[in-house]
Amino acid sequence: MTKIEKPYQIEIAGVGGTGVLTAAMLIGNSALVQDIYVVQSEIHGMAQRGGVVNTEIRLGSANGPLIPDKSADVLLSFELGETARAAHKIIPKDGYVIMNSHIIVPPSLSAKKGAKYPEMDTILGIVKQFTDKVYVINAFELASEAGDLRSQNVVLVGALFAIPGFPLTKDSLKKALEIRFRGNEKVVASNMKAFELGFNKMKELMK
Amino acid sequence: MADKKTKMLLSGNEAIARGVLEAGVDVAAAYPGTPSTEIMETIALFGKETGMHAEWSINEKVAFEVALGAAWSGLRAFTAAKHVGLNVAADPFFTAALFGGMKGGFVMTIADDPSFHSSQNEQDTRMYALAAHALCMEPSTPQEALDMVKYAYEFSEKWESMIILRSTTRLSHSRGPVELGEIPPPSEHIGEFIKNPAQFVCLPGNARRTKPLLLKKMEEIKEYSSKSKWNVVTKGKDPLLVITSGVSYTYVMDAIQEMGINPTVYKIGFSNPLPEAKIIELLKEHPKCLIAEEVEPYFELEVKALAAENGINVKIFGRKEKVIPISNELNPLILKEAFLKVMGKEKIKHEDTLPSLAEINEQLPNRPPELCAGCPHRATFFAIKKAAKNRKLEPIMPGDIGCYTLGFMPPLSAVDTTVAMGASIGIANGIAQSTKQVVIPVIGDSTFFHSGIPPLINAIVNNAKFVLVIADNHLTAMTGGQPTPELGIDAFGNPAGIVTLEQVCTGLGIKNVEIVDPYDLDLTTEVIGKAIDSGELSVIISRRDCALEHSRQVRKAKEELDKYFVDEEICIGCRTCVRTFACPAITFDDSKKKAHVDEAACVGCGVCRIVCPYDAFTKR
Repeated sequence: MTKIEKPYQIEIAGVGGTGVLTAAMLIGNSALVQDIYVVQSEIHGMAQRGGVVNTEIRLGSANGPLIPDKSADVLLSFELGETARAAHKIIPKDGYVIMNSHIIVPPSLSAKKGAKYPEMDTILGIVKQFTDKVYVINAFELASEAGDLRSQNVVLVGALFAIPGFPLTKDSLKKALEIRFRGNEKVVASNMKAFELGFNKMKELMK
Repeated sequence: MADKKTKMLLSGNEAIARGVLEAGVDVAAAYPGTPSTEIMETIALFGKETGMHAEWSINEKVAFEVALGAAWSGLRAFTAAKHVGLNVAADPFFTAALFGGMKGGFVMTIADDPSFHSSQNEQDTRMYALAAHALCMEPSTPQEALDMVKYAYEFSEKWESMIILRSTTRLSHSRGPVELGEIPPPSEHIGEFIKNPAQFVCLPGNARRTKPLLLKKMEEIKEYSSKSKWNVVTKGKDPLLVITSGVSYTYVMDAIQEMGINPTVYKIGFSNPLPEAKIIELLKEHPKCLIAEEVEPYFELEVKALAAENGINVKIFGRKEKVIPISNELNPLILKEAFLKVMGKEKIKHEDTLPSLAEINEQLPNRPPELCAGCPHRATFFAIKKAAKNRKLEPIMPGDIGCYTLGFMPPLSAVDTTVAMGASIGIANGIAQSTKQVVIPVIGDSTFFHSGIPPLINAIVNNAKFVLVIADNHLTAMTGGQPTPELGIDAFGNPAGIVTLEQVCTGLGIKNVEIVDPYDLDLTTEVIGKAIDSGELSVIISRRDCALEHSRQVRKAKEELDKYFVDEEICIGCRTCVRTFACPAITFDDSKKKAHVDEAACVGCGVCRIVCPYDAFTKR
C-alpha cells in the first residue's frame, strides 16, 4: 500500500439525508483505488431521522476510525450551521474548511416563536476563529446546474479534491463513482459534472 | 460483493456477513437492532444464491433458538443482535452455553453500543460471556472480523460450543479495506437432528452432570487461549504493559504512534476464557499495566485478581483508578491522557482561546432526531392528544422502542415511559391496575409482534383496562425497513405467510378492535375518543405505510409525490402548524408571518391541511 506518513484526515459534517455516507464511501473507495490505507467511521440509527450526521475519514498511517480534536486536515460541511458544530476537529490555523451555504432548519426551531437560524456571518465568525482557510460554496446552486439537487454532496467532494496536496486523484474518484453506480454511465457522468463544478469553484475561490 | 481476492471497503457488519457467507453458514436468523442490523441485511442480500436459509425472526430469542436448532442438527448456524437483544435471548443463551453439543458451528455476533449512540444502555456483552461460561472473541478491524468469523466456526465445531463475536458500534459502523476470500459453491444445506436427550433436554439431572464438564472444557480452552493467534503481543522497550481489545486497540496504537512511546501491547482477541498464563507472564515483566477496554472493567477485575493471586508486584491502571473514564466509549485522546497519567506526566493543557463546543452549541439550533415529514406516527400521536384534550384528559402514554419513541419530542410530548421492547403494554397493565388515570400505550407493529402479545393477553386475563394504539407502518422502520409479519415476504424477498394485527387481537377475543388511517385525522380522533369513553380494553390499529418507504416506492415507480403549499392569502400566521404539529417540511417565515412548506421535503400526506384551522394548506 502507498505510504502516507502522517494520516490525512477528513471530517464530514451534515444532517441525515444530505448524502454524508455516500460522500464518505466515494472518498474511501478512491483511496482503495489508489491503494492508500483508509479507515472511516459513520453513525447510523437515530441520527438518520434529521439529526446530525458526522463521518470521519483517515487516510494513510491511521489505526482507529476516530479523528481526534484539532486533527482534521479538512472539514467538509454539507450544512451551514453544522460547520460550526464540527469546528473543534480542524487543525488550528492550517486546516481547510469547505462549507455549503445551504441551510436546513430544524423543525424544533420553527416551533419556537422568534427563534432564528443563525446568520452566515455568525457561523463564519465562529469558524474563522479556528482557521482562515474557509471556503463557502453554494452547492445547492451548483447541484441544480449539474441537473440533480441530490448531488450537492458530490459538488462538495469535488471542492475537496481541489485542495493543494490532497492525496486522492480525480481519476480514482471517477472509478469510485463507477463502483458506486455499477457502471451506470449516465449517473456517473452527471455526478462527474457535479464533481467538476465543485472542483472548479474551489480552484476559483483559492486564486 | 465480488468473489476472489478482491479488496473492498467494508463496514465491520458487512465484513462479518461476508465471513458468514465464506464460512458456508447454513442457517442465519436475526431480529434487527442498531448497530447490528446490516449483518443480516447483507446476508439476506447475498445469501440467496448459496442455498442457505436466512430469516428475520420475530425476536432475538426466537432467532437464537432457530440458530440453536440448526447447530444441533449439525449445520453451521449464525445469529446477530444488538447488546440488549441478548437480554431477550438470555434464557436459551445460558442453557445453550451450558449444554453445548453444537455439531455444526454456532457463532453469534452481539454488537454493543458504548456511548449510547442508539441504545438505552451500554451493557458489556463480555459480562454475559463470563456469567454463562460462553466463549467470546473480539475483533478490532473489519478485516479481522471477517477472518475471525471463519476461524470461530472451526473452533466452535472442535469444542461443540457456541462463540460470541463481540462487536461495538465503532467496529460495526467503521469501514476499512477487506480482502475477500471465496464463498463455497451453492449446496442443499440439509442437516440431521440425532436424538440425544442427555445432551439436549435440560432437566436438572442433566444440567448437574453437564456443569462440571463445561467447567473442565473451559479450563482446557483457557490454555488454548494463551497460545491463540488472536491474542497478540507487540513487544516494546518501555516498562509499561497495555492490555486491550476490540476497537480500543486501534486507539491505543493511534496514541502510541502520536506520542512516540514504546510500551508492550497485549491485544486480546480471545477474551473468554482469558489467556491467564500469558497475562501472568507479561505482568511479571512489567512494573505498570494500563487496561484499555470498553465498557465494563472486565479485563481489569480479572487481571487484578490474577496479579493478587500470583503475588505479582505490578501497578494496574484502569477504570477503577479513573485513568480510563468509567462510562462511554474510548478515543485516541482519552488514551493519550491515560498514558500521561500512568507515566506520571502532566495532563495535556487546553489553554487556547478557541471557543468550546458548549459555547458554539449555544449559538446553534439543536438538531435532535425527529419523526420524518409525513410520518404517520406524528398524525397518530396528534389524534390521541386531540381526543384526550377534547375530553379534558391528560392520558398516561407508555411508549415503546422504534421511530415512534421520537413522539417524546415537543410539541407532541406523547411518550411518558420507554423501557424495553414491548414494555409499553406491560407498564400500561401496571399503571391501569394502580391508578384511575386513562392509559394509552403506543407500540409499533414490529415491536408488538416482537414482545407485545404476552402483555396484551395479560391485560385480558387480569381485567386491565386501557386503549392500546398500534402504530402500524408495515415495517421495522427504525432499523431501515425490514419486513414484518403483515408483509408476507421473507428475508430474501420471497412470498411467505402473513399474520395481521387484527387477526391476533380479535383472535385473543378483544371486542373493541378498530382500524384507522391516521392521515384521516378527524376520524382517527373520533375513534380513539370512543375507545377512551368505553372504558374497556380496546385496540386501535393506526395503519399507514412508513412515509420514507412510500417516497421510495413512488420514486421507484417513476411517479411524483403529491406536494402541498401554503396559500399566503389565507394563512394568518397563527403558527398552529409549527407549534402543535411540527412537520419538518413546514417552517415559519418570521418576516412574512406566514407558514411555508419546503416542497423538497414534503411527501404529500396532507395532514397539515386538517391541522390548519384556516385551510391554508393546498395541494399543488
